[in-house]
Amino acid sequence: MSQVALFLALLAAAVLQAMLPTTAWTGWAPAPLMSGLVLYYSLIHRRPLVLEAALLAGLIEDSLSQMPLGTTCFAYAVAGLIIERYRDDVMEHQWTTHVAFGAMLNAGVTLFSMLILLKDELIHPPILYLGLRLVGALVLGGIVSPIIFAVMNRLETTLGSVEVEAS
Amino acid sequence: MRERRFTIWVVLAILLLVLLNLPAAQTLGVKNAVRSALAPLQESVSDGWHRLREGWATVRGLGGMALENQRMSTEVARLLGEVRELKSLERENEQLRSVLGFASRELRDLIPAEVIARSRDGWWQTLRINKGSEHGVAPDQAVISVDGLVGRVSSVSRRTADVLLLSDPTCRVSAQILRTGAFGIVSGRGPQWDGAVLCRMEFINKNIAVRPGDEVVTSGLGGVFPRGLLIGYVDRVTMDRSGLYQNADIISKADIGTLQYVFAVRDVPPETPAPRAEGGGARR
Repeated sequence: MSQVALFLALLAAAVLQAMLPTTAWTGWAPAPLMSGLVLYYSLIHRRPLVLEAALLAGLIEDSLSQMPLGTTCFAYAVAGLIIERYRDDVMEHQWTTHVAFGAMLNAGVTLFSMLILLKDELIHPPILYLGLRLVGALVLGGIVSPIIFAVMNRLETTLGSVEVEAS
Repeated sequence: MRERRFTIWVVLAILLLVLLNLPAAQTLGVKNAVRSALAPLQESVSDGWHRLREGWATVRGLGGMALENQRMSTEVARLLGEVRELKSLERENEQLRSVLGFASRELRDLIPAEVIARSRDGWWQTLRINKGSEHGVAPDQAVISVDGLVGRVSSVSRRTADVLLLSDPTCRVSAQILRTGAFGIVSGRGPQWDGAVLCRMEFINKNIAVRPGDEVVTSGLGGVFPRGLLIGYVDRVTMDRSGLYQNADIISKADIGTLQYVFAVRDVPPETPAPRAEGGGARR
């Protein structure tokens, strides 16, 4: 059932992420639905599923954008494994955890992608834009992640994949 | 057990590193497969969303519908007259060209397509359409809307194609100011704070007067964009820092931010009969 939930969530997140509007005030950072999914799996599920979610989310995100294939996969996989490693040290069902981890995960992945793109000279944005984009990713990650966590927890509880619900 | 786990991690790390360093040509196949697989879902969600918006717009505009209908009927009658006139002019033009021994003008076939996704990553200005190689869309084809040039096809999968928009700084178009015939290069200025689509025309001859409101069209030079497609209007003219050229800010005629339907422009050699595009390709 976890696989079904993961598959459904990835499809929905991929389509919605490409449709939701972006704003100048967040540096045109997209709503981080995929990043929220990776966070959810990193906090709740076992390591193999964390990796599967991270790699698939990254693959889909890279495929649907002009990003070099593998960039987001790599960033999600590393971030997911780090979160999974330290999740026992935090209260994984607290919304404050989702806000903090979601913000850090999204900003971290954005920074990594940005550095890769700058290194390969694929983008030439002004410095102000880069700063705004990072802040935007941080803020959106903090806002979107608790929502994704709650929705996924409800979905998986309905499907019987997890027994606990977010507090 | 510990050794086995270590091996798995090493293999995984190597796989990721290989994936990161694959040449673009090889990763394109993977990307295209994912894009084609997700295209029907993206199309239906986009279609549903569009219907909702249209429905809401219809409900809001019910009062003015009769007036709008009347205005459209008048416009259709005027345009039909114009088309008849242009057809006779075209016939006359073709006859004169053949008498003078000029090559026939290239015909264009329009492949209608619907926008199913927009690039939301902010790094690039692109959109995805629901027609791909199986419908005749090919890389570097010009993409237009009813208002004018939108961009060019940057990559194609079987069922979808990505369009690099005019507003992207890497999209460069050889252009001409219609009134004066002055040439220049138009490129995008990236996303603007107010969401407006702004381009800049560079390398305009400094001795030619360019005025705000002048129409800018594609020049046909460079071979990517056919000649005469409307790009937009001049907003502001400035002198280049070197003092050798003029630059002009261009406001795109096509509302790129809200586009729903576009056309990929396929050149058809004049000798061969034009194949009809799936879904009813219109001839221009």
